[in-house]
Amino acid sequence: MRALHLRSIAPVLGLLLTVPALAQVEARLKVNNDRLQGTHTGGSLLLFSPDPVQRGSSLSHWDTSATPNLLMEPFATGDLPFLGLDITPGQMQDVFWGNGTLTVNIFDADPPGVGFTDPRPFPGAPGNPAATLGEARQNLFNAVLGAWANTLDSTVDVDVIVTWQDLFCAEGAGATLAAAGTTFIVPLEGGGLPGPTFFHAALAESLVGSDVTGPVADGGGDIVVFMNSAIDDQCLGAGTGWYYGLDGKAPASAFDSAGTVLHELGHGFGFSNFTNEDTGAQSGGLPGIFDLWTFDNTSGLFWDQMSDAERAQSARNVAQVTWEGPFANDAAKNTLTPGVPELVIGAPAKIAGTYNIAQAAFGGPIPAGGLTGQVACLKDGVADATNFNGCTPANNPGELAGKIALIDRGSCGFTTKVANAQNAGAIGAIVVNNAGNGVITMGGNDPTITIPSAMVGRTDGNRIRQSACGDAAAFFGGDRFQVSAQWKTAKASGEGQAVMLTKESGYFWFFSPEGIEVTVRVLNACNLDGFNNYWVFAAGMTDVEVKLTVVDTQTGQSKAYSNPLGTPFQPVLDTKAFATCP
Amino acid sequence: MSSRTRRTPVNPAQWVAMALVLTAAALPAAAVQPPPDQEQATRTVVVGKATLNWHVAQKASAPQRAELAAAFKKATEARFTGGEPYVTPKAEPSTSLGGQRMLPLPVELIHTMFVDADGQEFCSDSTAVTKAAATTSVGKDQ
Repeated sequence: MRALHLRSIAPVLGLLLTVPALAQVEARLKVNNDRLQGTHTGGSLLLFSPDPVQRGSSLSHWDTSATPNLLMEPFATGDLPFLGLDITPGQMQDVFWGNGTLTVNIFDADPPGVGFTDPRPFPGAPGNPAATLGEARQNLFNAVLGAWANTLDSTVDVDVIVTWQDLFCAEGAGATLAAAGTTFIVPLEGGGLPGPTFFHAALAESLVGSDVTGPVADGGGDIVVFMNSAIDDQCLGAGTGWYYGLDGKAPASAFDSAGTVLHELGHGFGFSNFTNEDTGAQSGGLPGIFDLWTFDNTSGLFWDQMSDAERAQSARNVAQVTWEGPFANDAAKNTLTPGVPELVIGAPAKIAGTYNIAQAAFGGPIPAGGLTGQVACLKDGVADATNFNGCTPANNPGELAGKIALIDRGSCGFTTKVANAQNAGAIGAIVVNNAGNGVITMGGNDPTITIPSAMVGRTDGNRIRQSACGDAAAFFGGDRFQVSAQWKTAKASGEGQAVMLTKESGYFWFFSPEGIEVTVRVLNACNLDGFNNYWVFAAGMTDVEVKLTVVDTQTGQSKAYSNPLGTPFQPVLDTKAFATCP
Repeated sequence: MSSRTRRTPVNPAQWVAMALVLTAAALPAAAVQPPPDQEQATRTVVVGKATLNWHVAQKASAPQRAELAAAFKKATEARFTGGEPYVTPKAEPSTSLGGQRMLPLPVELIHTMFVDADGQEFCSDSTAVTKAAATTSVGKDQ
């Protein structure tokens, strides 16, 4: 079936294709002062969806671009106002917590002399004048649970089980510090919900007005907290330990216990989904209340409306996943700082839109009125897969003068790339990430660089490059598989120029944009019965020497397919190409 | 560039205005109110307008908690030992004394604050952390 389908491609292409000429790409780098840092171009709060997976990966956090730092961002910082719940109460209202007061039952789950009753002397800390380590820990929990108990409303007591244990900790490796989560997830229905929906236990109890999970003595309880007591034994080195001060001013060698526990309890009360973001699978096969406000701006779907595969993909949809709850977004207006750098493509229409960027730490600022120009690819003559990495001086200064240079990330420092663009007369530079569709602030120091520059994500950058430069490498399967083609005759050789047709199919031309030489398809067969891999198909209308190279950019694995000179192109039907699912 | 299709038929803005009348799914009507907690508080602390009651957890549930703690240790240690991510065995819905269905939260979904060898503190559940530990930087740049 697949082979028949492949054989049908060439004649169909002949009917449908018009070969695209390189377009003039009109770009504008600007700072959008109407947009808050940490929000989507559409205005809603961004959730954290890095690609590839990195530390802190989880949509159950605000995006790290939020400024100032928020309690529920994934990275602990020292500048959180102590017990400052910032916009988190708004998020809690979105998931149907009331604003008010509740009673907390704290259950000490450790034997005498351990955890909250540790008798070792304590020297005292700001806001925490305890005499023993155990008392210092009790004061800590009184403060942080007191903060939550004076924020959320319930007529039902919240039962919090706390245990201090020696969890993983090794100097030179790292440690587990602390954790908190709801003990149970409880399905509720009614209230205008689209269907049965899982809620955090304490939240569910506040909504139905009864102790759903039952007494702790009978295996009930609402929130469980794990604390690593080994941190106090300086397991990460001399002078390290928990900081029990309640002023948010932990020294560099210590870990702020109040900020850490406050954050983790937020997950336990209501700031978390119940989805495995690696697979997209929902716990118990039902959506959680967090999913009902989690929106993917690319697919236009909320998380409860997606398949598992769509959720797994959405979890890595950089800067496109937002929280649509009204209370948190209202609170953000009074909290977050305005002014977000953006790349706006005005033409051609097929790539027009606003793109997420991160401005470089070096070079000139983006002018107040923005920087407008055509995009031109910096060609440095280095024959590698991308050919536009800007690590050597540009060999096309005539094309770059007065324009915004497009450059690939990789192989040399960021300042080298941007300096080469500036020396060729470019007025600005855009660097395309080679590691996912996220962006980072490009570091480096070169005081001679005066033009502004910024990084754009890989998927976004490839779209722009396709229009601005044509391409010597195409990306199939979204942006995962990079395919390039080298050709050779008896007298000449070169890189095939790629043109994408669909997300998984494209073609290469060698001698003229009018002449299609090789068509390629990379097919996701991860979910087909009997297969668990990606397939590579190719067909050609040429007898020149061709070497096709396919790289799985997610794993680094590659495969090459060669056709000898003077031989009609032999079809490629590789149904075992990459066993790298998902 | 993006399409923003609002959910239908429920308009999220209306949820907020809507009086919430929620019931536990498959909840037996006669069993809404379970017995109150039987543990007695050993100490009470008032913080602002809120009350915090300190208890010693009853022994009856200790084995269950020990099992949870062991699983949590295993799930979080994978971050550092390079093992496969921990996956909680599939659980059947449990029923509380009140008769409500509920599921224990899979251990690997409990959010945890870690610190890495470079001193970076970060919070994550345990489903992604081992992958993130294996992630290396791409390209030679600053």
